[in-house]
Amino acid sequence: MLLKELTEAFGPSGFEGEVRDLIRREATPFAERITTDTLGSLIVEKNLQQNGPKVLLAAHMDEVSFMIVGIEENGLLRFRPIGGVDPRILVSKVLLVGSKRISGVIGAKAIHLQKPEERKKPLGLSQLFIDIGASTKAEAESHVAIGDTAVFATRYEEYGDRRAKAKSFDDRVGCAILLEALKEDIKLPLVAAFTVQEEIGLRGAGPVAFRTKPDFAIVLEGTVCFDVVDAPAHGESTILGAGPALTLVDSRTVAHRPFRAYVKQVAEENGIPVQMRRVKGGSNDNGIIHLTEGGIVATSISVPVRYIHAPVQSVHLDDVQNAYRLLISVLRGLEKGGFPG
Amino acid sequence: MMKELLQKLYDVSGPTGGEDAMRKRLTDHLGPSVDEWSVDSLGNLYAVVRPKETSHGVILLTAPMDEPALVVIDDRERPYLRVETLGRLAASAWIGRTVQCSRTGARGIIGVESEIKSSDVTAHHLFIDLITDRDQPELGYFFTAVTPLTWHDERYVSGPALTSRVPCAILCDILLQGATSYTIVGVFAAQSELGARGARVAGHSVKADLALTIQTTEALDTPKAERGTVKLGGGPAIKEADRDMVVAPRVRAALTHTAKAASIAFQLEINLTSRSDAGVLFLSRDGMPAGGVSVPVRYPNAQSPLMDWNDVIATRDLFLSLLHQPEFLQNF
Repeated sequence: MLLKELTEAFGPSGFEGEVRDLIRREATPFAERITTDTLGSLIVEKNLQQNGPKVLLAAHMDEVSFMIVGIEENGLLRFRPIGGVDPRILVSKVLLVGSKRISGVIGAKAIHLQKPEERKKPLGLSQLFIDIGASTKAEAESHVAIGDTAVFATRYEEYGDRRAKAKSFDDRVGCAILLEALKEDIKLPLVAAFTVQEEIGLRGAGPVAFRTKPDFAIVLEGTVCFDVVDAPAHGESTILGAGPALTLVDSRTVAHRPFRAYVKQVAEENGIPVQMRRVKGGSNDNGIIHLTEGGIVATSISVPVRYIHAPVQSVHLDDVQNAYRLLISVLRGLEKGGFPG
Repeated sequence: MMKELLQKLYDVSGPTGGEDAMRKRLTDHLGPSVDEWSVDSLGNLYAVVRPKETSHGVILLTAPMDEPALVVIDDRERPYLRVETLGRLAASAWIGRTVQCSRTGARGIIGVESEIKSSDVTAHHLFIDLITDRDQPELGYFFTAVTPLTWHDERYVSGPALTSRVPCAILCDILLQGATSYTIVGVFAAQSELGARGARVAGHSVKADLALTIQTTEALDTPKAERGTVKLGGGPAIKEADRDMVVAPRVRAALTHTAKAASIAFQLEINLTSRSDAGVLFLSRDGMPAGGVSVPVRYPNAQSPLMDWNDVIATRDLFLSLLHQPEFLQNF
């Protein structure tokens, strides 16, 4: 799977070009038709003449990121997040900024200069800046412009027991699984959609569902996993290494129960571990896909991601593999008419 | 007759997102009066009643069939089940209620972790005390409040699920009255509590000449209530504006003229903070003429929503008077 190259690619919401080019290159040998829609989503279609239900597989290309909104006289950059980021995690993190991907570090007032009351409060966005090593505004402007974007600089690395870290498993892990699935010989009309702007309100997926009009949709996601310190059992959402997670409800969707039950049954028949996502907060592209036109039967298969929406996200590679196996097993089942709809 | 119908609908559970039992009860009750049934992927129930002769147009009538619910997300502390809340009730409003599983019928009581101030209570502090470990619901099962329908002097009625069951009873009764000169598509809408999700899809599925919602609106006639236009017992509230839409004058006029001609006392619903299913209907496809009539209700977001039965009957009568005018859509 193309995890390293995909997670290291630069893909702020609305600026998914680099990720899209990479996916297009990899998908082309397996595609019958590739389209980029008006918003920028990449739509890869296979088996267009095949009988059987049309299945939309969706993963989003964009990642939580930042936009430069100001340049100070001393060359420091003001910025705002694109997508949900907790400002408390930002100080001292390394970023890649602008089209030249120059390095920057997020700085703040030193602890010894902070007043006692300041030390008690987390740093807000207005107290943070990006330092790209420029000493003047003019020097900074020769490297970046207002409106440029930035992402965390984290490199992909495998560590520990089948773990991997990267900046953007949400949702390049879904993109990697979809790309791999395109190589399989599935006898169904398939649409693999790599969507844009999910992190800022599920904007890309609706037009994709409207255009492709699938019978079923399966969203591949990276989802919240907090099975570490100070979380009650019912607050952890998912457990790392316990298998892909199926959605009960999230903030935008009540899951289609029969389709989820079918996916669960397929997992059991194939000896693939699955877990339920045990939290309502958060959402994914399914939130808009299932409401498209007259309604679409849809489900999500999610890979647990620890420290999601943070500079270093962590997955268990067994979960990634099992999410892939589950997706393929479900598609093989749909091929045989296993879920009539 | 409508009272018995309301009781029948009230006796089944209709958790938002899991309205299966409501669909079954409605289909059983309406039976052959409906010419065509269908259900979509969101769970909306469509009931089509065809005209006697040539159709003078398609009228979409919607009523929400769902109520606030709890969904089980964790069962590792049996017999205590951890939940998330769905719908408009605040987490703290569930404390102490008796609830029932919509699939298994298992009952429990809502408890809350100690040492939490009531203003800080979130769904994560709540649990269903299932009392026995007998039948464990699966993750994803829904629970709704068990509170009997209460009549006050035979004229006023209260109960937590009234805001969906009264509209459903009105829509049922309209469909039972038989054919008109219109194609009537009745939609018992799913997931209304979650922001008109069912209505959004229904608005796409049915190409109607006019869509009207049958819902409820808060009566603001209680001590120190925010100023509002609607009072309990003031008759059907014909929608003029809510948070999601301003009703076109011709749609509102069709309803007000009908009410006047039939001597039905009415009031106007102008509430810029309340939501309804009408907002997504009028924005569906390339735009659909839409409006609505709401039954006044006191305390909609608390344990005992209260209605005046005279308002309920008058709302039904207003719809029937409208639908029995064979030509009104032509004036649009």
